[in-house]
Amino acid sequence: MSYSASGWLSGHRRVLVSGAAAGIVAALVLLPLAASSSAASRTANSAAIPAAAARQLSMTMERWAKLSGDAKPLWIAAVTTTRDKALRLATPGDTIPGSAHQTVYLAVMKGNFTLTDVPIPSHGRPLTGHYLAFTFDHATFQVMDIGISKQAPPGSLGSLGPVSTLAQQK
Amino acid sequence: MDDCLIRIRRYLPSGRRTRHTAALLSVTIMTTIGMVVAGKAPSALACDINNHCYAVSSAVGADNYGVGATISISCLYAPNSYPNFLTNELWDASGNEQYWVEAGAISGYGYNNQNYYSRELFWEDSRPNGGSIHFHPVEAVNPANYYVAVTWAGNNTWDVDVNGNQYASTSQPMFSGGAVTLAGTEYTFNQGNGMRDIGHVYDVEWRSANGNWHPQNASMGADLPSGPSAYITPTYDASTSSVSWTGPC
Repeated sequence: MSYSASGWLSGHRRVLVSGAAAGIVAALVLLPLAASSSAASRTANSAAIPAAAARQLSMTMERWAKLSGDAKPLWIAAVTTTRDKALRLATPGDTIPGSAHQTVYLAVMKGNFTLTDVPIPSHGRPLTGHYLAFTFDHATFQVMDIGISKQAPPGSLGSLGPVSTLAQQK
Repeated sequence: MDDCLIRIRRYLPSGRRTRHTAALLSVTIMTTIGMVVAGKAPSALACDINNHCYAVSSAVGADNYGVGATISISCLYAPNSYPNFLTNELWDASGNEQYWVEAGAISGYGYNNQNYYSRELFWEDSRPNGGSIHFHPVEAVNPANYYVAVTWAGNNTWDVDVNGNQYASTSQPMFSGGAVTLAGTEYTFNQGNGMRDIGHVYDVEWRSANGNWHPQNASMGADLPSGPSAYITPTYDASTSSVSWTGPC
Protein backbone atom coordinates (compact mmCIF):
# COMPACT_ATOMS: atom_id res chain seq x y z
CA MET A 1 0.00 0.00 0.00
CA SER A 2 1.30 3.42 -0.86
CA TYR A 3 1.21 6.07 1.83
CA SER A 4 2.12 9.12 -0.18
CA ALA A 5 0.26 12.37 0.35
CA SER A 6 -1.64 11.78 -2.82
CA GLY A 7 -2.59 8.35 -1.59
CA TRP A 8 -3.96 9.84 1.59
CA LEU A 9 -5.86 12.54 -0.09
CA SER A 10 -6.99 10.87 -3.26
CA GLY A 11 -10.67 10.55 -3.82
CA HIS A 12 -11.59 13.38 -1.51
CA ARG A 13 -12.35 16.99 -2.13
CA ARG A 14 -10.09 19.61 -0.74
CA VAL A 15 -11.81 21.89 1.71
CA LEU A 16 -9.23 24.38 2.84
CA VAL A 17 -5.70 25.25 2.02
CA SER A 18 -4.08 27.71 4.32
CA GLY A 19 -1.69 30.17 2.79
CA ALA A 20 -1.41 31.25 -0.79
CA ALA A 21 1.80 29.39 -1.59
CA ALA A 22 0.61 26.27 0.08
CA GLY A 23 -2.64 26.63 -1.74
CA ILE A 24 -1.02 26.84 -5.14
CA VAL A 25 1.17 23.83 -4.50
CA ALA A 26 -1.66 21.86 -3.02
CA ALA A 27 -3.96 22.78 -5.87
CA LEU A 28 -1.47 21.56 -8.44
CA VAL A 29 -0.99 18.31 -6.58
CA LEU A 30 -4.46 17.62 -5.33
CA LEU A 31 -6.96 18.94 -7.82
CA PRO A 32 -6.43 16.09 -10.25
CA LEU A 33 -6.98 13.71 -7.38
CA ALA A 34 -10.17 15.44 -6.37
CA ALA A 35 -11.57 14.71 -9.78
CA SER A 36 -11.57 11.03 -8.88
CA SER A 37 -13.52 11.64 -5.72
CA SER A 38 -15.59 8.75 -4.52
CA ALA A 39 -18.41 9.79 -2.26
CA ALA A 40 -19.15 6.18 -1.48
CA SER A 41 -15.94 5.87 0.46
CA ARG A 42 -16.87 8.62 2.88
CA THR A 43 -18.50 8.21 6.20
CA ALA A 44 -22.10 9.24 5.77
CA ASN A 45 -22.36 11.53 8.80
CA SER A 46 -18.95 13.19 8.51
CA ALA A 47 -18.84 16.89 7.86
CA ALA A 48 -16.15 19.13 6.51
CA ILE A 49 -14.12 20.98 9.11
CA PRO A 50 -15.40 24.54 9.50
CA ALA A 51 -13.00 27.19 8.23
CA ALA A 52 -12.38 28.70 11.65
CA ALA A 53 -11.59 25.31 13.14
CA ALA A 54 -9.33 24.49 10.22
CA ARG A 55 -7.39 27.70 10.79
CA GLN A 56 -6.89 26.85 14.46
CA LEU A 57 -5.87 23.30 13.64
CA SER A 58 -3.48 24.58 11.02
CA MET A 59 -1.77 26.97 13.41
CA THR A 60 -1.54 24.31 16.09
CA MET A 61 -0.16 21.64 13.81
CA GLU A 62 2.40 23.96 12.25
CA ARG A 63 3.60 24.96 15.70
CA TRP A 64 3.91 21.34 16.73
CA ALA A 65 5.70 20.47 13.54
CA LYS A 66 8.33 23.05 14.41
CA LEU A 67 8.56 21.88 18.01
CA SER A 68 8.97 18.31 16.82
CA GLY A 69 11.93 19.09 14.62
CA ASP A 70 10.41 19.64 11.21
CA ALA A 71 9.09 23.14 10.66
CA LYS A 72 8.08 22.31 7.11
CA PRO A 73 6.21 19.04 7.04
CA LEU A 74 5.41 17.57 3.65
CA TRP A 75 1.71 17.85 4.30
CA ILE A 76 -0.84 18.35 7.05
CA ALA A 77 -4.39 17.12 6.72
CA ALA A 78 -7.38 16.77 8.99
CA VAL A 79 -10.82 15.24 9.09
CA THR A 80 -13.83 15.21 11.39
CA THR A 81 -14.67 11.77 12.73
CA THR A 82 -15.36 9.79 15.85
CA ARG A 83 -12.57 9.14 18.28
CA ASP A 84 -12.65 5.37 17.88
CA LYS A 85 -12.21 5.70 14.13
CA ALA A 86 -9.48 8.26 14.62
CA LEU A 87 -7.62 5.95 17.00
CA ARG A 88 -7.47 3.28 14.30
CA LEU A 89 -5.34 5.62 12.25
CA ALA A 90 -3.61 7.80 14.84
CA THR A 91 -2.79 5.16 17.43
CA PRO A 92 -3.66 1.86 15.76
CA GLY A 93 -4.20 -0.91 18.22
CA ASP A 94 -5.43 1.35 21.01
CA THR A 95 -9.08 1.19 21.97
CA ILE A 96 -10.82 3.38 24.51
CA PRO A 97 -14.27 2.62 25.93
CA GLY A 98 -16.87 5.19 24.92
CA SER A 99 -14.78 6.62 22.13
CA ALA A 100 -17.36 5.72 19.48
CA HIS A 101 -19.56 8.54 20.75
CA GLN A 102 -16.90 11.25 20.87
CA THR A 103 -16.51 13.60 17.92
CA VAL A 104 -12.96 14.65 17.21
CA TYR A 105 -10.76 16.29 14.66
CA LEU A 106 -8.05 13.91 13.50
CA ALA A 107 -5.01 15.77 12.17
CA VAL A 108 -2.01 14.05 10.63
CA MET A 109 1.21 15.42 9.20
CA LYS A 110 4.13 13.87 7.40
CA GLY A 111 7.71 14.93 8.01
CA ASN A 112 10.73 13.99 10.07
CA PHE A 113 9.74 14.28 13.70
CA THR A 114 11.27 13.53 17.09
CA LEU A 115 9.25 13.36 20.27
CA THR A 116 11.14 14.38 23.37
CA ASP A 117 8.35 15.81 25.44
CA VAL A 118 6.47 12.69 26.38
CA PRO A 119 7.26 10.35 29.27
CA ILE A 120 9.55 7.43 28.49
CA PRO A 121 11.24 4.80 30.67
CA SER A 122 14.58 5.71 32.20
CA HIS A 123 16.52 3.74 29.60
CA GLY A 124 14.14 4.38 26.74
CA ARG A 125 14.97 6.74 23.95
CA PRO A 126 12.90 9.45 22.26
CA LEU A 127 11.17 8.12 19.22
CA THR A 128 11.40 9.46 15.75
CA GLY A 129 8.81 9.05 13.07
CA HIS A 130 7.44 10.34 9.82
CA TYR A 131 3.78 10.52 10.74
CA LEU A 132 2.58 12.58 13.67
CA ALA A 133 -1.13 12.34 14.45
CA PHE A 134 -3.37 14.09 16.96
CA THR A 135 -6.99 13.85 17.94
CA PHE A 136 -8.63 17.01 19.23
CA ASP A 137 -11.91 17.43 21.05
CA HIS A 138 -13.99 19.13 18.38
CA ALA A 139 -15.42 21.67 20.83
CA THR A 140 -12.48 22.54 23.07
CA PHE A 141 -9.52 21.59 20.86
CA GLN A 142 -8.08 19.72 23.83
CA VAL A 143 -5.64 17.10 22.65
CA MET A 144 -7.00 13.64 23.38
CA ASP A 145 -4.47 11.33 21.74
CA ILE A 146 -1.05 11.59 20.15
CA GLY A 147 0.69 9.08 17.95
CA ILE A 148 4.00 9.07 16.14
CA SER A 149 5.09 6.33 13.79
CA LYS A 150 7.62 5.55 11.13
CA GLN A 151 4.85 3.90 9.16
CA ALA A 152 1.85 5.59 7.63
CA PRO A 153 -1.44 5.08 9.40
CA PRO A 154 -3.12 1.85 8.34
CA GLY A 155 -5.86 3.44 6.33
CA SER A 156 -6.91 6.44 4.34
CA LEU A 157 -7.76 9.66 6.10
CA GLY A 158 -10.26 10.23 3.34
CA SER A 159 -12.17 7.10 4.28
CA LEU A 160 -13.37 8.97 7.37
CA GLY A 161 -14.83 12.00 5.63
CA PRO A 162 -13.97 15.15 3.69
CA VAL A 163 -10.29 15.89 4.14
CA SER A 164 -9.07 19.40 4.90
CA THR A 165 -5.56 20.09 3.69
CA LEU A 166 -4.17 22.38 6.36
CA ALA A 167 -0.76 23.05 4.89
CA GLN A 168 1.63 21.73 2.33
CA GLN A 169 4.87 23.57 2.47
CA LYS A 170 7.62 21.52 0.89
CA MET B 1 6.27 -17.22 35.69
CA ASP B 2 6.29 -18.20 39.34
CA ASP B 3 9.90 -19.17 38.93
CA CYS B 4 10.54 -15.75 37.51
CA LEU B 5 14.27 -15.13 37.68
CA ILE B 6 14.56 -11.62 38.93
CA ARG B 7 17.73 -9.63 38.81
CA ILE B 8 17.84 -7.08 41.55
CA ARG B 9 19.19 -3.77 40.43
CA ARG B 10 19.94 -1.69 43.42
CA TYR B 11 22.77 0.67 43.90
CA LEU B 12 25.20 -1.73 42.32
CA PRO B 13 23.46 -2.60 39.09
CA SER B 14 24.94 -5.32 36.93
CA GLY B 15 25.73 -5.83 33.25
CA ARG B 16 24.19 -3.38 30.85
CA ARG B 17 23.17 -0.94 33.52
CA THR B 18 26.59 -0.88 35.13
CA ARG B 19 28.18 -0.07 31.82
CA HIS B 20 25.51 2.46 31.05
CA THR B 21 25.88 4.15 34.42
CA ALA B 22 29.66 4.11 34.26
CA ALA B 23 29.64 5.65 30.81
CA LEU B 24 27.16 8.28 31.90
CA LEU B 25 29.23 9.17 34.96
CA SER B 26 32.39 9.38 32.90
CA VAL B 27 30.80 11.72 30.40
CA THR B 28 29.29 13.77 33.19
CA ILE B 29 32.60 14.15 35.05
CA MET B 30 34.58 14.96 31.94
CA THR B 31 32.01 17.46 30.74
CA THR B 32 31.89 19.10 34.14
CA ILE B 33 35.67 19.41 34.27
CA GLY B 34 35.71 20.85 30.79
CA MET B 35 33.09 23.44 31.60
CA VAL B 36 34.69 24.45 34.85
CA VAL B 37 38.01 24.89 33.08
CA ALA B 38 36.32 26.89 30.36
CA GLY B 39 34.50 28.99 32.93
CA LYS B 40 31.09 28.23 31.49
CA ALA B 41 27.91 27.36 33.31
CA PRO B 42 27.15 23.66 32.95
CA SER B 43 23.91 24.32 31.11
CA ALA B 44 24.10 20.99 29.30
CA LEU B 45 24.09 19.13 32.59
CA ALA B 46 20.53 19.77 33.50
CA CYS B 47 17.34 17.88 33.68
CA ASP B 48 15.44 19.21 30.69
CA ILE B 49 13.13 18.15 27.93
CA ASN B 50 15.94 16.45 26.06
CA ASN B 51 17.46 14.90 29.17
CA HIS B 52 14.75 13.47 31.35
CA CYS B 53 15.60 12.70 34.96
CA TYR B 54 14.26 9.85 37.06
CA ALA B 55 13.87 8.60 40.60
CA VAL B 56 12.58 5.08 40.14
CA SER B 57 12.80 1.59 41.49
CA SER B 58 12.89 -1.31 39.11
CA ALA B 59 12.58 -5.05 38.79
CA VAL B 60 14.22 -6.81 35.89
CA GLY B 61 13.02 -10.30 35.21
CA ALA B 62 11.33 -12.72 32.92
CA ASP B 63 8.06 -12.03 31.22
CA ASN B 64 5.16 -10.92 33.36
CA TYR B 65 1.46 -10.85 32.66
CA GLY B 66 0.84 -7.51 34.26
CA VAL B 67 1.97 -5.03 36.85
CA GLY B 68 -0.04 -3.02 39.33
CA ALA B 69 0.51 -0.55 42.14
CA THR B 70 -1.13 2.23 44.08
CA ILE B 71 0.25 5.60 43.06
CA SER B 72 -0.07 8.07 45.89
CA ILE B 73 -0.15 11.60 44.54
CA SER B 74 0.70 13.93 47.40
CA CYS B 75 2.83 16.73 46.00
CA LEU B 76 2.87 16.79 42.21
CA TYR B 77 3.23 20.20 40.59
CA ALA B 78 4.95 21.45 37.46
CA PRO B 79 5.44 25.18 36.88
CA ASN B 80 3.79 26.45 33.72
CA SER B 81 6.90 26.16 31.61
CA TYR B 82 6.39 24.57 28.22
CA PRO B 83 7.30 21.87 27.35
CA ASN B 84 8.41 20.57 30.72
CA PHE B 85 6.53 18.04 32.80
CA LEU B 86 6.86 15.56 35.61
CA THR B 87 5.10 12.29 36.32
CA ASN B 88 4.33 9.85 39.10
CA GLU B 89 3.86 6.54 37.34
CA LEU B 90 4.28 2.84 36.67
CA TRP B 91 5.85 1.21 33.61
CA ASP B 92 5.84 -2.32 32.27
CA ALA B 93 8.53 -2.49 29.62
CA SER B 94 10.54 -4.80 27.43
CA GLY B 95 14.01 -5.73 28.64
CA ASN B 96 15.65 -2.98 26.61
CA GLU B 97 12.95 -0.48 27.64
CA GLN B 98 12.21 0.41 24.04
CA TYR B 99 8.64 -0.89 24.18
CA TRP B 100 6.31 -0.35 27.06
CA VAL B 101 2.92 0.40 28.51
CA GLU B 102 2.82 3.03 31.24
CA ALA B 103 0.18 4.76 33.32
CA GLY B 104 0.13 7.37 36.04
CA ALA B 105 -0.28 11.08 36.62
CA ILE B 106 1.39 13.96 34.79
CA SER B 107 1.78 17.63 35.63
CA GLY B 108 2.96 20.10 33.03
CA TYR B 109 2.59 19.73 29.31
CA GLY B 110 3.31 16.19 28.11
CA TYR B 111 3.34 17.17 24.48
CA ASN B 112 0.56 19.63 24.60
CA ASN B 113 1.45 23.28 24.38
CA GLN B 114 -2.16 24.33 24.36
CA ASN B 115 -3.23 22.72 27.57
CA TYR B 116 -1.23 22.85 30.75
CA TYR B 117 -2.10 19.92 32.97
CA SER B 118 -2.26 20.66 36.66
CA ARG B 119 -2.53 16.96 37.43
CA GLU B 120 -3.82 14.58 34.78
CA LEU B 121 -4.06 10.81 34.64
CA PHE B 122 -2.53 9.47 31.46
CA TRP B 123 -1.40 6.31 29.80
CA GLU B 124 1.02 5.67 26.99
CA ASP B 125 2.48 2.85 25.00
CA SER B 126 5.38 2.29 22.68
CA ARG B 127 5.41 -0.76 20.52
CA PRO B 128 7.52 -2.48 17.86
CA ASN B 129 6.60 -2.91 14.20
CA GLY B 130 6.81 0.64 13.02
CA GLY B 131 8.26 2.27 16.09
CA SER B 132 5.12 4.00 17.22
CA ILE B 133 4.40 5.75 20.50
CA HIS B 134 0.97 6.80 21.70
CA PHE B 135 0.22 9.25 24.49
CA HIS B 136 -3.27 9.59 25.95
CA PRO B 137 -4.19 12.13 28.62
CA VAL B 138 -7.32 10.93 30.40
CA GLU B 139 -8.71 13.19 33.11
CA ALA B 140 -7.76 15.76 35.72
CA VAL B 141 -7.28 14.43 39.22
CA ASN B 142 -6.68 15.68 42.74
CA PRO B 143 -4.02 14.41 45.13
CA ALA B 144 -5.17 10.95 46.24
CA ASN B 145 -4.33 7.28 45.84
CA TYR B 146 -4.93 5.66 42.47
CA TYR B 147 -4.57 1.95 41.81
CA VAL B 148 -3.08 1.53 38.36
CA ALA B 149 -2.73 -1.78 36.57
CA VAL B 150 -1.44 -2.87 33.20
CA THR B 151 -2.53 -6.44 32.57
CA TRP B 152 -2.10 -8.95 29.78
CA ALA B 153 -5.47 -9.69 28.19
CA GLY B 154 -4.27 -12.21 25.62
CA ASN B 155 -4.19 -11.88 21.85
CA ASN B 156 -1.36 -9.32 21.99
CA THR B 157 -3.48 -6.97 24.04
CA TRP B 158 -2.85 -5.21 27.33
CA ASP B 159 -5.53 -3.50 29.38
CA VAL B 160 -4.95 -0.28 31.30
CA ASP B 161 -7.06 0.08 34.43
CA VAL B 162 -7.31 2.83 37.03
CA ASN B 163 -9.17 2.17 40.26
CA GLY B 164 -10.76 -0.87 38.67
CA ASN B 165 -12.08 0.97 35.65
CA GLN B 166 -10.79 -0.02 32.27
CA TYR B 167 -9.36 3.06 30.62
CA ALA B 168 -8.15 1.43 27.45
CA SER B 169 -6.74 -1.57 25.66
CA THR B 170 -3.61 -1.51 23.60
CA SER B 171 -2.02 -3.88 21.14
CA GLN B 172 1.40 -4.92 22.35
CA PRO B 173 3.12 -8.29 22.13
CA MET B 174 4.19 -10.02 25.29
CA PHE B 175 7.54 -8.66 26.43
CA SER B 176 9.21 -11.95 25.61
CA GLY B 177 12.79 -12.40 26.63
CA GLY B 178 12.54 -10.30 29.72
CA ALA B 179 10.56 -7.44 31.13
CA VAL B 180 11.30 -4.45 33.30
CA THR B 181 8.91 -2.97 35.84
CA LEU B 182 9.59 0.59 36.87
CA ALA B 183 7.81 2.81 39.37
CA GLY B 184 8.58 6.33 40.45
CA THR B 185 8.89 9.82 39.06
CA GLU B 186 10.15 11.27 35.77
CA TYR B 187 10.90 14.99 35.51
CA THR B 188 12.37 17.52 33.11
CA PHE B 189 12.88 20.46 35.47
CA ASN B 190 16.32 21.37 36.66
CA GLN B 191 16.78 21.97 40.35
CA GLY B 192 15.45 25.29 41.60
CA ASN B 193 12.94 25.72 38.81
CA GLY B 194 9.88 25.44 40.99
CA MET B 195 8.90 21.84 40.48
CA ARG B 196 7.28 20.10 43.46
CA ASP B 197 7.52 16.34 43.63
CA ILE B 198 7.03 14.06 46.61
CA GLY B 199 5.32 10.76 46.05
CA HIS B 200 4.97 7.08 46.71
CA VAL B 201 4.05 4.00 44.74
CA TYR B 202 2.74 1.39 47.15
CA ASP B 203 2.33 -2.35 46.83
CA VAL B 204 4.01 -2.83 43.48
CA GLU B 205 3.00 -6.26 42.24
CA TRP B 206 3.31 -8.44 39.19
CA ARG B 207 0.94 -10.92 37.65
CA SER B 208 1.88 -14.46 36.72
CA ALA B 209 0.54 -16.59 33.88
CA ASN B 210 -2.15 -18.10 36.07
CA GLY B 211 -3.54 -14.64 36.81
CA ASN B 212 -2.29 -14.45 40.39
CA TRP B 213 -0.68 -11.28 41.66
CA HIS B 214 2.59 -11.28 43.61
CA PRO B 215 4.29 -8.49 45.55
CA GLN B 216 7.62 -7.45 44.12
CA ASN B 217 9.27 -7.59 47.57
CA ALA B 218 13.02 -8.09 47.24
CA SER B 219 12.87 -8.62 43.49
CA MET B 220 12.67 -4.85 43.11
CA GLY B 221 15.20 -2.25 44.16
CA ALA B 222 15.88 1.45 44.01
CA ASP B 223 17.84 2.62 40.99
CA LEU B 224 20.46 5.30 41.11
CA PRO B 225 19.05 8.74 40.40
CA SER B 226 19.07 8.91 36.61
CA GLY B 227 19.65 11.84 34.28
CA PRO B 228 22.08 14.74 34.17
CA SER B 229 22.13 16.55 37.52
CA ALA B 230 19.29 14.37 38.79
CA TYR B 231 18.49 15.59 42.27
CA ILE B 232 15.82 13.24 43.61
CA THR B 233 16.82 9.93 45.15
CA PRO B 234 14.38 7.03 45.28
CA THR B 235 14.08 4.62 48.17
CA TYR B 236 12.50 1.19 48.17
CA ASP B 237 10.97 -0.78 51.03
CA ALA B 238 11.02 -4.46 50.10
CA SER B 239 8.74 -5.42 52.96
CA THR B 240 5.89 -3.40 51.48
CA SER B 241 7.05 -3.33 47.85
CA SER B 242 6.84 0.43 48.00
CA VAL B 243 8.81 3.15 46.25
CA SER B 244 9.22 6.63 47.72
CA TRP B 245 10.94 9.82 46.67
CA THR B 246 11.23 13.21 48.25
CA GLY B 247 11.92 16.10 45.94
CA PRO B 248 11.21 19.77 46.58
CA CYS B 249 7.75 20.54 47.86
